[in-house]
Amino acid sequence: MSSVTRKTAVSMGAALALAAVAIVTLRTGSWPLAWPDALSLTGMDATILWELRMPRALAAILAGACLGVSGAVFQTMLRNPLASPDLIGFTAGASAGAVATIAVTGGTAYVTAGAVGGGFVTSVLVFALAWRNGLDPLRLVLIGLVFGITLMALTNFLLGVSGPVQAGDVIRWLAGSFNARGWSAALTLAVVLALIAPVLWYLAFTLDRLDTGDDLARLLGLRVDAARLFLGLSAVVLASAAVSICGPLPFVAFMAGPIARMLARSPTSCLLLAGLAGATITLLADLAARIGFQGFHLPAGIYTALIGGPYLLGLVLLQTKRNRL
Amino acid sequence: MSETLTVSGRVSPAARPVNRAFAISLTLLLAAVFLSLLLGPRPVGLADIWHAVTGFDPDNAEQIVIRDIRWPKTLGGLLVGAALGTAGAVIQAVTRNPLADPGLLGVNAGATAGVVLPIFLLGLVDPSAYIWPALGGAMAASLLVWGLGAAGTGVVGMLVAGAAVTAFLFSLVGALLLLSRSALDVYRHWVLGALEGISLEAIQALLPFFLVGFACTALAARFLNALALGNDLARTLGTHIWLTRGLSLLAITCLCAASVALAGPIGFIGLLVPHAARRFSGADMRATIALSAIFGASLLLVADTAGRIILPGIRIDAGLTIALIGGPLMVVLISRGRVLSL
Amino acid sequence: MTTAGLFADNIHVRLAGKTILPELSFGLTMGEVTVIVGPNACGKSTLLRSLARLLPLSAGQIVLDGHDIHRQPTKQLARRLGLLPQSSEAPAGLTVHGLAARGRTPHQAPFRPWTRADEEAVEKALNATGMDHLAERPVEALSGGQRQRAWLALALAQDTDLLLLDEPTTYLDLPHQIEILDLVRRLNRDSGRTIAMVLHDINLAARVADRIVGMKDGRIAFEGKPADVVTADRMAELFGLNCVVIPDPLSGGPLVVPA
Repeated sequence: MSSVTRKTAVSMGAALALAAVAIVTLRTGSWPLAWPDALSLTGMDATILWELRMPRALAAILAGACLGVSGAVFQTMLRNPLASPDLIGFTAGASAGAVATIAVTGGTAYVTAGAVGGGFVTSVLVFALAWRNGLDPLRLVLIGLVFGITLMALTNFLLGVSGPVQAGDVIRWLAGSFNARGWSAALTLAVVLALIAPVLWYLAFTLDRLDTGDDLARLLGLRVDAARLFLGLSAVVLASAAVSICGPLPFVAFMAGPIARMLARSPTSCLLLAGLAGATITLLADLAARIGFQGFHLPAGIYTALIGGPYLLGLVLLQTKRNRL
Repeated sequence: MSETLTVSGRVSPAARPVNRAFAISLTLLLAAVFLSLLLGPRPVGLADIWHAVTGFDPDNAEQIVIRDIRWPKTLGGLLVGAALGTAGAVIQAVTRNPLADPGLLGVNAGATAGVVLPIFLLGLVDPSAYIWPALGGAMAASLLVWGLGAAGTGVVGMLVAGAAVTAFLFSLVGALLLLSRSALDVYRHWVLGALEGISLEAIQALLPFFLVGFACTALAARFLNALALGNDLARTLGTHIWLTRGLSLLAITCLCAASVALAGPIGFIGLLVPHAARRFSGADMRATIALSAIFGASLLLVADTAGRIILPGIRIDAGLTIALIGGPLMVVLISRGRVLSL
Repeated sequence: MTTAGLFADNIHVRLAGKTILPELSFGLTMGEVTVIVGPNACGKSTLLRSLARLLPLSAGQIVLDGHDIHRQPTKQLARRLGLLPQSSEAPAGLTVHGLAARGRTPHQAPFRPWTRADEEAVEKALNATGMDHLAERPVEALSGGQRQRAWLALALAQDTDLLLLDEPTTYLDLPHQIEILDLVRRLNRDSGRTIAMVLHDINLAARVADRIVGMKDGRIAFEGKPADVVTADRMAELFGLNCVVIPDPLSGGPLVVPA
């Protein structure tokens, strides 16, 4: 039972860390805020805080949480640390949909719809093609991979043949950013997360018992195929929602699960902690994007792997040292 | 599945379907080579191919096309396709993970960084100069990932580390691309992965790496069969686990680095061709590797040739056509077949 | 057939395109220890796995207490029938206690917390298999025999009336083999659990079984009490082995001595 208390303690610590980063991020920016004037609801400071920084920060937190949880679910239910929606085609589907709408409509007005549509169509196809007397994890992964690679190639191709203005839009969208994401973005993500979270909470029971293999899970009375289907759909909805808001932020979905498991030293999935980890890294990345670098402002998507990568590597090395001692 | 694999690694009589698969795929490969020489924007005839090989006429335009343009492309496609297929089969065997892609060791990311950094820092724009920075970047990145793996993180740790290094480098590249227009232009074309512009000189320069890679694979292949049975059993069968892993990783690095340097990053082959090969070769690693090489080469050549002729006047790069041709094939194979786990 | 018990009625089972059990009818008598023996690849494991509903049937049905097991809710079945599979890999980091605790899954639910009853069942299981002093060790760090006992603890913690065991003694040394078989027999005598086991050692089977079922080429060759069916003729028929059957000096039952 000590692993449960460690998980709880680490989760609380992570929540505190996230809150601290959030406070820092709200106070940072080219417009210096005068506290506590900003907390009131009128005046320029308040506008900056409530209309610009707060919703953007919330969008980043929620998108990061959605991606982190989605990745953790995929990795656990497919019993493969390399499985993540980035790899398995779903975010590629959302990207392709978004890029196609930019190329066709010549603008970013319908990007969100394109992303959601693309992600949805891809998921349906992948699940349908992978279903054969049940949902075998390996088959699902492989078909998802095929779709992912094909759609990425298609996206690159569209990038190559589109005009310069559209190419710029496409690249900016593909890089992943929270620029000008306001309350509608934050609220959309909040609603999606609020709807999916209870489903995942319920399914976490089965999710945590898939690691010994499907046969044993079935022997112990678990409905493996149904669980995997609903888990997969939930994860896809979370990922698609996030991608439709901020573009395919690289690496967040992949790293949140391993980071959570290594911090909590737990063999089970740690969905809440994965969400917190994803949220923190995304918020930090957006902070870096807003601060910029010698006057250059790069989108948040550039920073997610630049920050997350070394952190994940550090954890892996630490764990190795601990295992060898 | 275990019918084809005996402890000594020899293939039993139940493997006759494998031999048939070999025969058919080799024939297909030869056909692909032939078609690659034959088809293209400029029409050439069978006679031209024959003459180009036997008595070369320097004034004949068709023969020049065959010798100076199509032949290097075909040879390059053969090497790169076989190399990527082989590397994919080997990394999946060593890591026992069906999602392992040779690019996870950092080769593609390293090569891309190796290409983009000089453009960004030094303003290098000469296409022929990309080979060495690409190769250097690829090898440096995979050495880093090896090192992390050798530090005792185990196979899973190495994959995770590889994915982290890859993502990090690609983000770095992304930043550079957004900051520099010329870098972006170069990248946009290089990333699609193409056999266009491959020269015999480049092939010659990189040939040693391909050969080293194939040689290491041949040496390690026998032991990879044992490795698939699990570490404990492999050890009792007299395999040096670290030696096998080391040889395999060296092979993967050389093959992938040389491929990326020659033709840019090409996805799909390393990751998915081995799964297709395994459908026919079962658990025998040597057959799987050989079949992956043949499939990879065929797929790349067919994709490149198709890209030349599908839309008249427009050349679609191999990267896209591979996905478009290989994708549906893979889906059919996977959804209709039994799934063979590693 | 509405009698209590597990019955396989004319089942046809295929694996990887090959027919393993062409047409098999089998009845498991409740309250007894039944041991299935036979040469390699005769279908013993396949029969057990089919009874545990792990394999689909191409024909026929398997009935538990009058109900088709393929139509019963998974959880309900898991509370009545447990299987110890032949070999399984434990996920990294799972302790022996954690593994045994997984056996309580059919008695748990997403929002039902871990109860005293669950903990007691796990303790009893660990005790019975002699793994209580290793409870906090990770399963992957154990020896083959210890790992097998940890998995047995999982099956025991499941607390089912029917327990199917697929070669539970493979990696164990003789003392531990005897210990496990004695445990199995105690479970049967004390709490009336029905046990069906696949064993490769005919002498151990004769020692522990109330009923022995001999299988060959996917069919049942014979079944009956050990004293009746463990004869030199039957052994020759089943294994192609020339042997002599003498009375066991300790138990009085049949003892096979290969020629």
